Amino acid sequence: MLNPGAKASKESDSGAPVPNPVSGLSFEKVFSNLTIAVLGVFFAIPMLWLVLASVDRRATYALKLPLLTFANFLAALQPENLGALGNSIIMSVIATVVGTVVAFLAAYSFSRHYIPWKGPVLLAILFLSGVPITVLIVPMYEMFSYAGWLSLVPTAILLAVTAMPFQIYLIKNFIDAIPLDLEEAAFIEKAGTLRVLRSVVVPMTMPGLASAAIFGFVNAWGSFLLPVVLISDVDQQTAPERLYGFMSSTSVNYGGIAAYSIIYSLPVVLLYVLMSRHFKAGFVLGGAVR
Amino acid sequence: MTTIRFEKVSKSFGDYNAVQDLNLEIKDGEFMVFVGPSGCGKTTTLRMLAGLETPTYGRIYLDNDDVTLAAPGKRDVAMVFQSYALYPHMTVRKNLAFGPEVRGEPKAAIAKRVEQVSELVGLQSLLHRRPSELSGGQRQRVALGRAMIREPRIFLLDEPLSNLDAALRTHMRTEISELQRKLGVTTVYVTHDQVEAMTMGHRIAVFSHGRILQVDTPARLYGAPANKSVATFIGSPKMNILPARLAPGAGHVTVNCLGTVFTLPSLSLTSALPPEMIELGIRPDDIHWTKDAPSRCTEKMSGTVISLETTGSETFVIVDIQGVEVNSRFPSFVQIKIGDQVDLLFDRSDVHLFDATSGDSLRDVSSIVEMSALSHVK
Repeated sequence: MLNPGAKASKESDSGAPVPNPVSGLSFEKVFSNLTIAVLGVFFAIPMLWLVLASVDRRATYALKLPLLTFANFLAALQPENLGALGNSIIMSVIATVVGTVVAFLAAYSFSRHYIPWKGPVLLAILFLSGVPITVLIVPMYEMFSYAGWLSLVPTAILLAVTAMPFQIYLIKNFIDAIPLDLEEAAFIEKAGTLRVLRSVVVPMTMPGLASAAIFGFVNAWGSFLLPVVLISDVDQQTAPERLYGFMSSTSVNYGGIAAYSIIYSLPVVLLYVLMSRHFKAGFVLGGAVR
Repeated sequence: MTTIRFEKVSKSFGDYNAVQDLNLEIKDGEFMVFVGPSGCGKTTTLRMLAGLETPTYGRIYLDNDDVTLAAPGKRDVAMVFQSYALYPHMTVRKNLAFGPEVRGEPKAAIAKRVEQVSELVGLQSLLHRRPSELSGGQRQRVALGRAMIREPRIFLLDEPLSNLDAALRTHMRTEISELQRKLGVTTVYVTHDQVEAMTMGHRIAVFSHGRILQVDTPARLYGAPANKSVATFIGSPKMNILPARLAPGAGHVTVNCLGTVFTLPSLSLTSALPPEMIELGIRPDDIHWTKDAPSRCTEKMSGTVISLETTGSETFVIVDIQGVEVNSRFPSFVQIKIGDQVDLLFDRSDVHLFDATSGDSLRDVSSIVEMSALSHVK
């Protein structure tokens, strides 16, 4: 037979159309799915432990069926623990707002204005986004101590700065994709730069701004070293530090750690859910040109 | 009520001279079309007028105001972009109202004006939609409406019809002309399509390589092109350019073109000492089949048919005459085929003579414009 597929695509003897054959199992499919499954298990097991241990009266580091209790959550919701969560929220929100706003303005300038040595400057920024802040911790401490900044708000602003290189890059890519015509059309209508930013550029950069904001928030929220070193006041401690309160030199409260970890991760989950609308909207250029 | 004046305007981008030494005056209420191939500087000139580019040299005046360095928002111009530049995150209503809102006009007045304009351009039923939910023609109307919602000193349109299909383009052409006539606002319209230019413009400026070759009415551009570039750019199909020889005589010159010899009065030439080797231009419309030619056509050429192109109402026949391809217009009913020998006739007053090196017109064609060109403009 010259063409084995020819018969399949024709109608069968009874006259009903025969569907085209669906390709069956192949080595590639089995292998790729198996790999994903193994990776999934690696991530799922710690999650499972977290959930089970948080409601276990005698939680250990082992994965086992729990003796149900809510005592762990009650312990995790003690005022000093909640206060630390509040501090984390204040710090992360400040870091997010400062970082995203400044990164947006910088990204707009990089995208639209003439800047001498723009290429090398951008490259430097890209490299900076890869430098861990840990290497600067000693001079940073000296500087903050000298200026009397060893508290929550200055630390939040420093965290904003650490997120900025990546945020600038992220937002700049979105602004680059906006046709210049749209801004020019607004300028001809007598709109000033701020008005153009507010009414044209910001709405069209929303998915990028949302991504940058989430990045900034998570970056500050998960930060441990900077708050530990740079915040001297115990009342201003953040949640990751409090997590260590469940460990003493003699024992570890595994149940408390699990419960507090779950509470600690809720704001990030909530943020993703809230922001998902902006991601779903996707890139909103449709109909702008042509 | 605005006139526009360009004085010695030049624009360079690095080493590239986009516009060179441009001098042009556009009258109040005039519909001026900038036409030319892409990269000829017409859009750059328009953008300088809008304030989106700053001229490297020269001045631009609106009436007597020097606006050379004025910001786009300070010029009171309205512009329709080639891409339409609609705001994708706003509804049609918001798109229309954006300009007035920015300028802080009262809300009630804006709403009223949006209604008026949407009626004028036929968008009433689409006001709640977003640009992505509109067809190309509808988007084009929104762009037009957005320019019309204000009463600007001048309208600038940058190839507004280039993204539409042929039928819609023809329709919008008349609509824009009509609107401009109704509003009476000085308008500059950029296009690369000579048909658009011919049908819409009061006057046309033909651009090439950053310079204006000729500014004139459509009829005069067609009938009396100042040089070969204008002659071949305006008119479809293109004007035939044929090699010819010029011999001076007493009070006349003798033209020899592909074996056809005829005389023209010396007075009809721009120069008393024309070069010997010239180029003769003649439009396909002016070359007739012997059996269909008007009686004024007395000059004859013969050749072999090498290709036929039927448009329905007429047939364009390419004839090989001594190795040179000559396009000519035949009536549609004619029964000829490739390889046939045909005789062609033309009127010597329809020919254009160009300097073979500079391309400048050698004929003082003002006398023939009124006679023949007006009837040819499509």
